[in-house]
Amino acid sequence: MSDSIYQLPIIQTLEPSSAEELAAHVKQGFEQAMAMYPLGGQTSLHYGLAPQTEGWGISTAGVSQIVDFPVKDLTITVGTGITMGFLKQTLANEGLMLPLDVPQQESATLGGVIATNTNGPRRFGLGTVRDYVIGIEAVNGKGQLFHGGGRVVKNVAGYDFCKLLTGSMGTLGVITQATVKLKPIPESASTVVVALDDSDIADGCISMLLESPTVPIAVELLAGEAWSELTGVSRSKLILAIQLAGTEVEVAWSRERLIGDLKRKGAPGALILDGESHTRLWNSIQEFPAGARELTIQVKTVSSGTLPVIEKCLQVDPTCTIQSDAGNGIVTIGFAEVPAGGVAGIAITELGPVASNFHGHVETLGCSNPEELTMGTMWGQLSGPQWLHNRIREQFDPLGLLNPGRFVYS
Amino acid sequence: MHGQTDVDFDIPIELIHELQQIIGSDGVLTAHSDRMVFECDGFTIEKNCPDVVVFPTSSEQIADVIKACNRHKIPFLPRGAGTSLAGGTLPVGGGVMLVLTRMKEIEEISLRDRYAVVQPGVVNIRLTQALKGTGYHYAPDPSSQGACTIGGNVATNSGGPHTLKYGVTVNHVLGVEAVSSDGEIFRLGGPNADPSGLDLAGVMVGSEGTLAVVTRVWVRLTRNPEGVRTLLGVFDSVDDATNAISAIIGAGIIPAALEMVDHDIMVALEEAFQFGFPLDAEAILIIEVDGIEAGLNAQRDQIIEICQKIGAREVRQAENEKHRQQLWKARKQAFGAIGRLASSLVTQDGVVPRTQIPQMYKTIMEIGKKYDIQIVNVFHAGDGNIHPVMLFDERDPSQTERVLKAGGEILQACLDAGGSVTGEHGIGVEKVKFMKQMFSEDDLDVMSALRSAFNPNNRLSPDKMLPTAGACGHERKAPSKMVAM
Repeated sequence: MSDSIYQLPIIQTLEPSSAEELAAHVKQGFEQAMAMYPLGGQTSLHYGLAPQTEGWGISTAGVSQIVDFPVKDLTITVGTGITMGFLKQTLANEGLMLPLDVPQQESATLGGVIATNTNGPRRFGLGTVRDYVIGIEAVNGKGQLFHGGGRVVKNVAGYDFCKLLTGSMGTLGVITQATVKLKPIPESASTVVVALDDSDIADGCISMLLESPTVPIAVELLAGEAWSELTGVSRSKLILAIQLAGTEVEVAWSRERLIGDLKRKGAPGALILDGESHTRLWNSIQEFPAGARELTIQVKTVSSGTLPVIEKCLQVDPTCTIQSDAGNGIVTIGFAEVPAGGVAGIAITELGPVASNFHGHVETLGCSNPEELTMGTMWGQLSGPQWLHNRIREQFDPLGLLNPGRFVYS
Repeated sequence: MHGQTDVDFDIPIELIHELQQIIGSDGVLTAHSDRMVFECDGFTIEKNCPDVVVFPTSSEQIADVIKACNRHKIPFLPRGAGTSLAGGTLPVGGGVMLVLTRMKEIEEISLRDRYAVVQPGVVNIRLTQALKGTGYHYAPDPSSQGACTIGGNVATNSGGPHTLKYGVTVNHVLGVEAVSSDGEIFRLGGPNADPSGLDLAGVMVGSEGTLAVVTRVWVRLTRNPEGVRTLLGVFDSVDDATNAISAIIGAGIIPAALEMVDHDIMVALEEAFQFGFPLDAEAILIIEVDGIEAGLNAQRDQIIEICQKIGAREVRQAENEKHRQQLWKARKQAFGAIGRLASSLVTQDGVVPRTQIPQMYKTIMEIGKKYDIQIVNVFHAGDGNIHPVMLFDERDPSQTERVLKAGGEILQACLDAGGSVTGEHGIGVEKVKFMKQMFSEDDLDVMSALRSAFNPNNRLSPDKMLPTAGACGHERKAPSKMVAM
């Protein structure tokens, strides 16, 4: 899968060095009715429908400074062009973290992560983008620079633009600055993995984990050959990987307790991964959704939907690779070949009904032939009325200039 | 119907008849004496009676009421239990008030997928009570949780002591069903946390009833912690107590709750609850940590050490669950107990970066001295959320004026420290004037644009939250009385 597939129809890229300058560019674009594509690390260009209209790229690379880092308040305010890798290192130097587990951290920017609402395995225990962003600044499609929230962890003044812009795909505003809450890096982390051949036992283990006093922070159910090698467990239909974090005492106690509980649920032989093998597994899980392949589909349901979705996928293509946040019901499936029936066949016909049985929908994360994608295969069933989405877009970007043709508006 | 229809309506009699048809006459109040109760909420300084009060029991009834109001061009607004402290449910332009307290069913509880579906009139604590024995609870626990409704919590994005660790209402709302300002029933999100399209359920939370009327809520359920340790730190100086707060957070410990109560409030609490508070202390901290039992004693000891190092006189531990519940009961009913201290009180709800609590406390007390107003304090200290309570006698107009000035100055000090004018009570009508101090003209313009997308005629909850919201011509019926009760 070559990167060129995902090139945007950009005729000129602007790299403003401040939010004000960026706003002036967008205002100029608005006056000329120019399409504009917000650019962060360009790691998620495959996420969204293929754009048709030529326009400007608006880069946030020059808006990447650390504005305020009051370490003891456990918050940081930064320009959104900052890469997740640099941010991670900056925070780690103070013993802090923003636990979002985003792929391609060396390139991916905070602005892109917020715009695409990208989350990883630790969402189970630690939450998602919307739980961390407490202040936001953006430039709407008319070139107006606006703010929501603030720099304090509790704040209900005004409408919550942090939520509105999280996952808005840059269509309501180019996000220029954000304040996020932080957490202390736990003293210790460890992984328990176990091979599972029976789906009912796997489901029983997940139920057990949801109620376990051990408080895991990630519960992953994996399928596909690649995972056996990474975890070191024997080849099996499924692998359950559980991440624990806390003080050393807590992690040690939890590990022992979990291994016993899994055995009682019919899953003996759990292994412990520490140090490098722990890190390698979670890095692979984190990077999986961004992997280069013909087709990547994500089904977003509830926890009990995880196994039915996995079963359906394995039935359609026994060779597919699956990574799922089983505690949340988020299943990501990698297909080496597009299954017979095409993207619509798998996303709408096969997986659509299973997803909706479990209150969910199907999205396409990446496809070697983006032209094949439609609103239905890309975004699945909208979680709110179309008229309301359209009206909000009209208010924020009346000419429809920001990322035109890529998101859910009609 | 409870009485004769009074004649002070601004609204057509045809609308009354339509409302009676939609709801049934036992769910429509028209007599002035019946409507009086709804003239204000927990913010009592401004009052205005709604012209009609209706008690719908379904989303369809709400949709029909809204359509009828639109036909007659009459404003309308929702109300839960009326515990809002910022005038969020004040019917500024009169009109029709939809009281949602009869919609109080818990419709579904799914432990496997950790969510519940509730109607908006469900009282917050009822959900946690319904979950008793399941190992789960509903985490947002505002102090008014025995009375306030989940619909109201959604409107104001309510907090509470345990939101320090578990997050506020928006972190626990997965989806809502709502009725639009033109009477269409729609749904945003649901049991699955990741929406396709915009996170509009997230936008609805904290919108103070100005975007749509919430008729059903999908909430997240939270696993009960295995263990808990509740500590009472006793301090001989408020400075030491506030410094301990900063030190605990600064050390990277996020307790489940971290509350401060100063001496004068403690005295009132003791009179009300006879808990055994140390009345000669200047301040107490209530510190709770929860989680894996195996790790709790170490966390507790670390907190005790920090408190003692800073000069705590002693740190007591709640001996058992009953003792712990008594302590929380006293804390959560603090506002009731303060009623003993003065005939009138006004509570502020500012937020500062949490490490600035010590400085902020000093500023509050200086402002109290400057205006000669007694101020007592109860803080959600771990979040930086301050609740200075100003005590006065509203029969003395000079005191009332000084209270309003002091309150304004405290909130300005919060803004100067990089904070907010409201952490959990909302803007309502009380703080509309502060919006211009906190947000730029463009910010407010864009907020107004968002409201227009949902509520284009501004007939739903007019004159709330945004200073520009009154632009559509809804004049206030009566000048605000500015009399504190």
